[in-house]
Amino acid sequence: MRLRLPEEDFHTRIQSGNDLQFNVLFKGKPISGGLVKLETQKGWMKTTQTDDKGIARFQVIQDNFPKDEDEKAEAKKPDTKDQHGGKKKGGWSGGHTMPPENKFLVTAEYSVPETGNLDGKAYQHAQYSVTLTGSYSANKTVSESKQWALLYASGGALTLGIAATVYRRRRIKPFKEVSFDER
Amino acid sequence: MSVKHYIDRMNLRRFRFWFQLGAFVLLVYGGRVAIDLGQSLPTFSCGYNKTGGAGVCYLLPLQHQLALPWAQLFSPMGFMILAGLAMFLLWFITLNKAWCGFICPLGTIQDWLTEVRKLFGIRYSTYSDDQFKKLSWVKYVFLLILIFVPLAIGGQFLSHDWATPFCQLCPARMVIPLLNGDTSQWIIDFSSTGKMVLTALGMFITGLFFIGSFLKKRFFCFFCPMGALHYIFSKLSIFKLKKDGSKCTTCGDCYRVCDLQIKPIADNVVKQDILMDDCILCLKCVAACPEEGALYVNVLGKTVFESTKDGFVKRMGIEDDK
Repeated sequence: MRLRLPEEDFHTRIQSGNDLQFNVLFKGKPISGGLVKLETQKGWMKTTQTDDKGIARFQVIQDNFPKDEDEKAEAKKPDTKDQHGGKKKGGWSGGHTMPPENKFLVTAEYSVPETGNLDGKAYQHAQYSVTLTGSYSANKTVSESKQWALLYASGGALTLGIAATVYRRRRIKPFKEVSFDER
Repeated sequence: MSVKHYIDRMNLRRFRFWFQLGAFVLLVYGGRVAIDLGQSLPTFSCGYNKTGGAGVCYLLPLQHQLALPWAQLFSPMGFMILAGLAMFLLWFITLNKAWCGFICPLGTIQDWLTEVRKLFGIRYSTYSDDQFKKLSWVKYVFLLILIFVPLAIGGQFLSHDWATPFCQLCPARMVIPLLNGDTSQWIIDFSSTGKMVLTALGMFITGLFFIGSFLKKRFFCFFCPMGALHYIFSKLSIFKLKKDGSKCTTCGDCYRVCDLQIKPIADNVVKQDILMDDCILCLKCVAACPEEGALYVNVLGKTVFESTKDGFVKRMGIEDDK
């Protein structure tokens, strides 16, 4: 099973760069030295072994870029029906302009000495294998900018500040002395 | 001295300051002590304030729910929108628009910015009658945006990049999480055109918010779609602001203290239910009125706070003739 990310909640999505941890259990107990392989939709894969607590660690690769050739091809696909019978735009589900998710497959394998008989053949070892799927998206930091955000906020503040100052100045009427000749 | 007499003579300014401070701490930091008031609060308890929020502003789940695919929205699943609305109304009917004047954290921040301006001795800005009329429809435009853009997403006319459009524009998304040290909302998201437009506008409006609230009392409340939504349901509330026109001398004290520049509060001597769409029910008008019972607050048909000569004299610090 996948262990939760720090401060993970309902809205959390796995992103490239996240450190994922998978706990491999065999008959309810963690196994050490088990082989765990993570393979992404785009073909990247890595194999590692579980530690003493049965945990295997992977850092999700950044292989999800906008305007990828595959995505362009996907986006050109004709509209289809979604699961609710509604029209689904071609390309990425939900009509996103960027691919929201790539999938990965995690496979854990564990071999134990175990004797038995299968189809009339005796065996000395049993190979157990389990899989888990998940999805991940491009790391948000790739497409986010704090500098631009501050620039826009400053732009808003300056625009209103200058507009208010100019407006106030224009409303000030210069002092004008009025004298009456009462003769 | 009866309790009612004590309330009528109270220092509303001081009461409001402490009430707002308490509500502010509860809604902005209450989540840190596991307080959760649900997802239908009729005030800007920002849902993006993940570390400290003690509840979620109703506008966020409403936009999420309205963005459901139409096949789901117009099925029995759509009843969850009615359930959310019912919960919102349960909260709302207790205090009416006083949620804005006494509880809204963004409103409280604006009041504090006004106090800062006073410290600097800078005079406040007002709208002319013409500007007031021209700008007063903006909150209804925001209300239409937060209803129809999610519906267009559910109907697959717009992409999910335009999701929660009002929250993306609302300065509370940037300001309230910041009070918990969270700067994650201070970004422009370039991942798509929709997100880029919304986040850029959101940041620009945040800049306007700080300067606007510094110069103009309750600057953002004038444009707030929550205020517009409140007004639609205000007749259902048990908490009402009323006026007895026969006792009003149209002196204009109530108008002069009104942060939202609501003129009918002084001019209208016919309407008894005097709550207007821009009102935040801060009750400053009641406290500033010198006429006995001309303005009063009614809860379930019982007057709980009203304008009195005695209260006016005490609040103004005027020596009584007696």
